[in-house]
Amino acid sequence: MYLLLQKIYKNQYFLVFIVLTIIFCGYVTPTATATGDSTQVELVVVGCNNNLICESHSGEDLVSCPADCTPATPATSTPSVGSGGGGNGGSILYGSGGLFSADNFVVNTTIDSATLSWKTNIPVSSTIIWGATLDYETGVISESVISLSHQVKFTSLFSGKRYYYKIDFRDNFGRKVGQVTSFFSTNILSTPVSLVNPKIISVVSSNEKVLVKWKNPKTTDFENVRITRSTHSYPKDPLEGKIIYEGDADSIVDSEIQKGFNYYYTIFARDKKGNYSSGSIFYVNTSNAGEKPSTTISPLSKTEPQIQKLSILDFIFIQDGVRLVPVNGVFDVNGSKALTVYLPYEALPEILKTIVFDVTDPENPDQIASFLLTVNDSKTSYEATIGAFERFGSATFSVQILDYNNMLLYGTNGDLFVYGKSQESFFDGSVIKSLNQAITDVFSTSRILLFLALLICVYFIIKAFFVS
Amino acid sequence: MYKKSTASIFVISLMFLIVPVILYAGSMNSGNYSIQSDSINIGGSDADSTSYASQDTMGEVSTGISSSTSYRLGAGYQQMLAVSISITSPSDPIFPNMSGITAGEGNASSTWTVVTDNPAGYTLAVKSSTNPAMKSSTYGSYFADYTPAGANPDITFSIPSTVSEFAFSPEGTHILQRYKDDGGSCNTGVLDTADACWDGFTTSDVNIASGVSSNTPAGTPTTIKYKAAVGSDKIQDAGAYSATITVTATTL
Repeated sequence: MYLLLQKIYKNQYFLVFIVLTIIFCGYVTPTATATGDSTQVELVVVGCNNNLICESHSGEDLVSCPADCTPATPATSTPSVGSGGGGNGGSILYGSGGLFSADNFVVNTTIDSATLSWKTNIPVSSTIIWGATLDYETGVISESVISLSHQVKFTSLFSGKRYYYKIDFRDNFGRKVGQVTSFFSTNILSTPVSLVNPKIISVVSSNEKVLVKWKNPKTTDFENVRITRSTHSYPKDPLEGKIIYEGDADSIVDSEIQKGFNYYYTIFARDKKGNYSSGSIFYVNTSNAGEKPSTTISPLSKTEPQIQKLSILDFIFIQDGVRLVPVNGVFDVNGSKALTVYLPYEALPEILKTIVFDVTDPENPDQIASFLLTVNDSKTSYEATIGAFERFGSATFSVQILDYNNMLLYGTNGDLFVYGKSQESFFDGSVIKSLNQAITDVFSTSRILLFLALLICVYFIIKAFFVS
Repeated sequence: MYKKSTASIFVISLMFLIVPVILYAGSMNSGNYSIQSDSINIGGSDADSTSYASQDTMGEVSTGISSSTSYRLGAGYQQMLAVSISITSPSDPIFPNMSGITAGEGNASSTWTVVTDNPAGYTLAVKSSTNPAMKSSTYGSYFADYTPAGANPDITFSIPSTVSEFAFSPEGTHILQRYKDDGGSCNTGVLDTADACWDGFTTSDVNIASGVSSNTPAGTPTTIKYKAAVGSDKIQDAGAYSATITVTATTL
C-alpha cells in the first residue's frame, strides 16, 4: 500500500490532478447573489409666503395659497415690483416720530444680477445685508452718501433663485430710522437650447481607414448628420473642411485618408429647420492610430488677458432651462436629460479659437466624449448641448480653448455627479434570471471540461502504476 | 495481459469518476420540514469524514435547465443549489406639495418585495445617491438628512424649528432589531409600530431587513416610509426636490 501511494505521489500527473480537483471543487462553492432597485422620491415645495402677492412662479395659486391669491381689495401700501423680481416688504417704518417712510421699491432682475431702487421721504443712508437665505449671509452693501433716491446692484447671482435682503436706514445724525426686509428672484434662464449633438460611440482607425460609430439625437426634429474633416483643426461649422458624409446612418468608414496625417473630424446634427448642432469631435493620426491629438501649451504671456481671467464659474451648465448650481464644487446633473454647456460670448475675445468640452463616461472613466462649443446665431454665447448621459455616477469634465494653431490657450476641469434612476434592465428580475442561467451554463460547460481533464489525469496515473 | 490491464485501468478510473465534491450540508430542514429540491436517480450515497462530505448519484435522466418568464428549473441532482434572489420595482413615490413658508410635513412610501430561494435567507440594505438625499437641482437647496437624537432611530419624528429634514422608517416582518420598538423606544422590543423609528439616509448601505430562510414564491414585503418636514422658522426654497434611493437585497 505504501509503495502504491509512493508511486502515485511521484507520478507527474498527480500534481495536475490535485490542482484541477481544487479548481473543480471551487466551482461548486455557492456565492452570494445580490439584486437591487432604485426609486426617485419626488417632492415639490410651493412658496405660499402670505405677502398678498399671488406669485404663480413660486407655485402659489388659489388652492395652495388662498391668502395671496384670493381676489381682494388691493393693499394700499404694497410697493411696486420690478420685472422678474419677487415680492417686497412693506414700506411703513418706525422711528423719527413716524415721519419716515420708504417706497417706490423697484427691482429689475436679469439671470445673474438685480438692481434695487427705492425712495425715502427724508435723506438717509442705507445699509443692505443680503443672501440666499434669511441669514443674509452673502454680503453687505453700504451707501456712502445720504440721499432721497437709492439704488444698489446685486451681482454674480444664480438664475432662478430667490435672494433675501434687509435694509437699515439711518438719518444724517446716524440714528436708525427704519428697516425693510424683503426678497427678489432672479430671472429663469430662457436661452434656447441648441440642437443636441450626436454621441460618438467608437472610433477605430488604421493608416488607411477610419471606422466611426455614433448615436443620433433622439429629438423628434432630428434630420440627419453631416461629418466634415480637416487636416488643420476641428471644423467649427458644417461648411468648414471636407464633407465626407451626410445622412441619417450611425456609422461610416472613411477610407479617403492617407498615412502620416492628422485628421480632425466633426459630426454635426441637423434638425428639420436646417439648424446644426455645435459638433461632436474626434481625432485620428494615421501615423499613430488611436493617439489623442497633442496640443502645445501657449506661453501665458501670449494668452489674451481676457482668457487668463476665465474661471470655471464662467461656464454655465443648464438643464431644462435652469442653471445648475455646484455643491462643494460638483455639478449635479440629471442623467435623463440633455445638458447644455454655455459660456457667455463676452467672456472671450473675438479671436479665432476652438473651445473643446471633454466629459468622461460616468460608468467608464476611460471613455471620453468631446464636443465643440460654438457661437450661437445671436452671438450671445458659445454653447454645446449633450444628449442625456443615461449612465450614472461621478464624471469629470474639462474645457480647453485652443488657438488656430491648436495651441492651448486655456484649460480647466471640474466634476459632475450624474444622478437618476438606475438602469432597470440590469437589475430587474428577468435579467437576473438570465444571469443565473448564464452562470449555470458556464458552470456546467467548465465543469465538464475540468472533469474530462481530471479523467485523463486519473487514466495516466493508473496507467503508470500498472505499467511499472 | 494488455486487455486485463486496460480493463483494470477503466474500472479504477470509474471509481475516481466519483470525484469528491465539497458541498454545503443542509438541503433539508428539520422541525418545520421543507424540501428545497429533489431528483429521481438510481443509486448514490452520502459519505463524510470530519472535514469533507460527499454526495453522489447515478442514472439521472431529463436533466438540464428549463425556464419561463416566471420560473427557472434546474433539473438534476442538486441543480437547485444555485440560489436566486429578486426584488420588485415599485413606482416612484411622490410627496404631496409642501409649503416652503408654513411649517409642515409630508409623507410618502415605497414597498419592495424580496423573493429568494436561498435557505439561509437575505439582507436588505438602503442608501441614497447623494448627500443630503433630498435635493433640488434648481437651486442647490435641500432637506438635510434626518439626525436621530441618539444612536438609535427616533420613535417619533422631531426636528428643530429652524431646519428642514428628510427621514425614513422601514416597516415589515423582516425589519432588523434597530427599527423595532417597545412603544416608547427603538432598537428594543418586538413591535413594528407604524410611523415609528425614524432614521436618516446615508450614501452607504444601511441594513434595514433580513430573512433567515427561503421565502419563495411569495416573498416578503418591506415598506420604507419617507417623511419630509419644514420647521416653523425655516423658509424652504420653492421648487422640485428629489431623492434617489437604492435598495439592495443580498443572499446570505
